[in-house]
Amino acid sequence: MSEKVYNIDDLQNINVEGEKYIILQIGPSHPGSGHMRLKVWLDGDIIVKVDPDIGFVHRTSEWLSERREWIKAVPIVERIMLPDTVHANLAYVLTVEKLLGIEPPPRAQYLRSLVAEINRITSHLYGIGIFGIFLGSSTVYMWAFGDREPFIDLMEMLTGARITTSYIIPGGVRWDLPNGFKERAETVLQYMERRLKDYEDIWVKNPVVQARTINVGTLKKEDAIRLGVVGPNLRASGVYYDTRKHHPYAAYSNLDFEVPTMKNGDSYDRLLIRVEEIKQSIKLIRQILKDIPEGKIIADQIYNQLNPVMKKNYEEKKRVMFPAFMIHMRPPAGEASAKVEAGRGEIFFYIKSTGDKYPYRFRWVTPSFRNLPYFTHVTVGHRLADLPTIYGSIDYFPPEADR
Amino acid sequence: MNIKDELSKISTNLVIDEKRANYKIIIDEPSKLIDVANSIKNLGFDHVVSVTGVDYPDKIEVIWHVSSYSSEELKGIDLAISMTVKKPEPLKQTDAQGNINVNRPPVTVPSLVSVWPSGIFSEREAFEMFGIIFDGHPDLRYLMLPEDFYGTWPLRKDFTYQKPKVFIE
Repeated sequence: MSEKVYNIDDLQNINVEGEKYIILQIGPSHPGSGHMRLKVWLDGDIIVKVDPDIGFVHRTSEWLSERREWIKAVPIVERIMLPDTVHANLAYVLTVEKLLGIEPPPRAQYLRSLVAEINRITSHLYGIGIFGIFLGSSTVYMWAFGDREPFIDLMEMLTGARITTSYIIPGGVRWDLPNGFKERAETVLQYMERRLKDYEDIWVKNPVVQARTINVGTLKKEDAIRLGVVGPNLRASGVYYDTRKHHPYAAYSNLDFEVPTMKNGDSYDRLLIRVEEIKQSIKLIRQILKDIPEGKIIADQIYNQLNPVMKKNYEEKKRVMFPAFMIHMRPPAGEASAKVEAGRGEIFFYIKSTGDKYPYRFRWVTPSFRNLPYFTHVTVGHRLADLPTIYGSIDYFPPEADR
Repeated sequence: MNIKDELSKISTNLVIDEKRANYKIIIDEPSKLIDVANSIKNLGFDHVVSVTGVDYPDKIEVIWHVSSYSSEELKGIDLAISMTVKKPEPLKQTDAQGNINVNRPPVTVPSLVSVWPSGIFSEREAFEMFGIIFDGHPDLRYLMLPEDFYGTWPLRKDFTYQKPKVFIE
């Protein structure tokens, strides 16, 4: 045990050279949600410094995408953000649409929001489940992963794939709403609302969970702004910022929803905010299914490129097949950037085109990468036993951070 | 507050993309960078979203994308700060086996970590991928790549992938 009393602010720029600390290597083989290494300097069991060493699952997505046709980047970005595929797909397509100057029709906008909200719920359930296993509760881990299934089945019903949907393409979406989707969705939503009450009883309001998370890993509002963290973690620290409100995309400017925020910014608030956001997403899905307008699901510019067989397919099955335009797409020279609120936070895309077959510069930043300061600034001063709590509560996903 | 007026007061090199609501400030002199960044921060832009480079045959463009969480008016605005530096000539050396090794020296720009601490990891990434040395960065180490990638700068356009050598022939 350490006898020294540490002040968190003093630890931010501590010099560990020449001091006698224990160095503990956590990882690189799967310490939590993926491969990464945390190098921890310890005095007794107090953490004095953490150096996150990432890159063990770096998959060179930027390099690969700069050497392929534009449309082929969609599967690449999806596979980087596996629990959050729709948002990665959507963010990339929004950037390409800005370059092409295409605006999708209203029905496609609503369908995009619909599939994004379903994906947000699965992403949050994934995060809650991983947080459960970090705190040693395999019950909530099994529950959350099990309850993720009905929503994944909904995505499969709509898009034909469970996880890597590739549903959103420049100009619109690939499938229309299938028959019976609204009824099925309503059943799933009612089931989830019932289950949320169970979660509150056994997990969220559990005294053991509260004892381990309240006042652990607190990030104050000013620090959250200064360090530029994103997503539910940012809102748990009390910052009112949501890309859906402040950079409206898809149908969000027509939809009515709240952005929940918390006050303390500790691990418990980061759990609560995910539960609140699931409730908001349920509300949004109901609203989308009620308000969704009739009409085309693909922009006219793309529709005109379809050949007669594809057009027949579109009229009969409401299915958009890829016209040859997609592979020969050459967006005009220029640069564009787009932001999307994914389950874990904001995805940022910056793409530069020279009017060529491939993107000239393909840059994207994922939410987990921007949540890295949690390791260096928030864990210090805590005991080693609190490190899993903080890691679990920020919903960090190494493959997403490494890209 | 009219954002266009405020930004044009800071720099005369302001590019506005009306259609996409994007703003870009182009810095022509490296010595001005930190002053411009400080005045942008005083406007309310409080965090860095991304730091990256764009590689051209003879130059590298370094771009900081900044945004705001604290100012209600600026939350919907993307601002890019762009600075272009010339690349030094690559040095070609022939070793004893007759292989030509091309040594591509890095470029140097001032670091903005002192202004925005949120750029600390992004600047490390831009360093290893493009060979941009951020002068004044407190901890400029490799982040994702192994250290033996030094000098290859993978995201530059002239990067060639070296196949691993066969150990048993």
